[in-house]
Amino acid sequence: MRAESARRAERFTAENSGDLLSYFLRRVPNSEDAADLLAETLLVMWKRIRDMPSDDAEARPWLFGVARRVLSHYHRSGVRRQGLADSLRAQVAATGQLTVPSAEARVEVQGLLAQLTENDREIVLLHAWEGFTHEEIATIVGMKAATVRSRYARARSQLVTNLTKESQSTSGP
Amino acid sequence: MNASDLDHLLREARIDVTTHLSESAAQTSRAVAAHAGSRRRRRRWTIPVGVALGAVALTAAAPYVMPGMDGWPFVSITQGERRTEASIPVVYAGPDDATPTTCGAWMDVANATDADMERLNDAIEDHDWPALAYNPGSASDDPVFIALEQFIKHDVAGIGWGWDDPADDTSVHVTASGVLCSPELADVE
Repeated sequence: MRAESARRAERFTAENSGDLLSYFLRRVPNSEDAADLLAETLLVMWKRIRDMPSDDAEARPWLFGVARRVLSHYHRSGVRRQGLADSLRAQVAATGQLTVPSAEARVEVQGLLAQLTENDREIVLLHAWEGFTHEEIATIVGMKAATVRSRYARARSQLVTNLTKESQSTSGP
Repeated sequence: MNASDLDHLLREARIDVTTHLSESAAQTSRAVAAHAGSRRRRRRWTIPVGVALGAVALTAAAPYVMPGMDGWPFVSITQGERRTEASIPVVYAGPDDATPTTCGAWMDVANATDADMERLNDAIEDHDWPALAYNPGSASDDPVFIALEQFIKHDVAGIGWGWDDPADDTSVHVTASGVLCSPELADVE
């Protein structure tokens, strides 16, 4: 790989590593695992560097697609500790480094999202939490953009319906 | 309850990282890049005799030209890797074949534990090294590089030869080899 290409990849991954860390922190029960998953994702990325799109706007969803596959492996097999992530893991574990939502908010959203299929849930969250467009989400999850768009609309509609039902049931007659 | 309420609820449940933590993630990213870069470019380095002699002359009492050193000032070690301490005797005839110089060969190892390094250093010391004449040309023509490869592959269990590109990043494997030439090395055999 040419030095210029390597420098560009290094800059690009450094710029996106904070967002990648957030992506994992929002999806794993043990926040310290997020540091290892970030390092694992970056190691996989460097192995597949030849596949990385040359345009940053296209490379970003590609990189999150790598992260999604690493996360999927994590859910099946657990985490592999990465020596390269030791320092970051300690900082993630330190208090005050995360803006954590209230337990009430988390529980409510988790309960709501649990009613969706895994793919639909991820489509909703990639848009709501990571800010990706439907086209970018299509790259990340490996679907057509039209499919993502229709799934997103259906999932949101379902969530609003369920929220309304919950609201009505808690407010009572 | 409407779509706007849903968006608000999702935002409220989002975990965010501080700027400081984001910068730490970027540092991790740079460390991974350096690690990956070192794996892409298997290193075979040489300290030119003139440079080594000059450096040694300046720091004759410094411990780093002796076995047991933690690292050479000439060649940095990639983060997470460790360098062998036992010297492998090498003779370099010099570009004019006129002045044979005693040299030493070392290896850098990734993912090695203390036990791995102790085992490797013991194996190096126990090995009956042939007379190795260093050839600074290509690795395939260098008897030192070839001898190190054969040694790792046939005489040291559990440590891989990095040029074979191990599939598993966590495996213990040699990532670099090098030769340092200086007159002091003649005293440490």
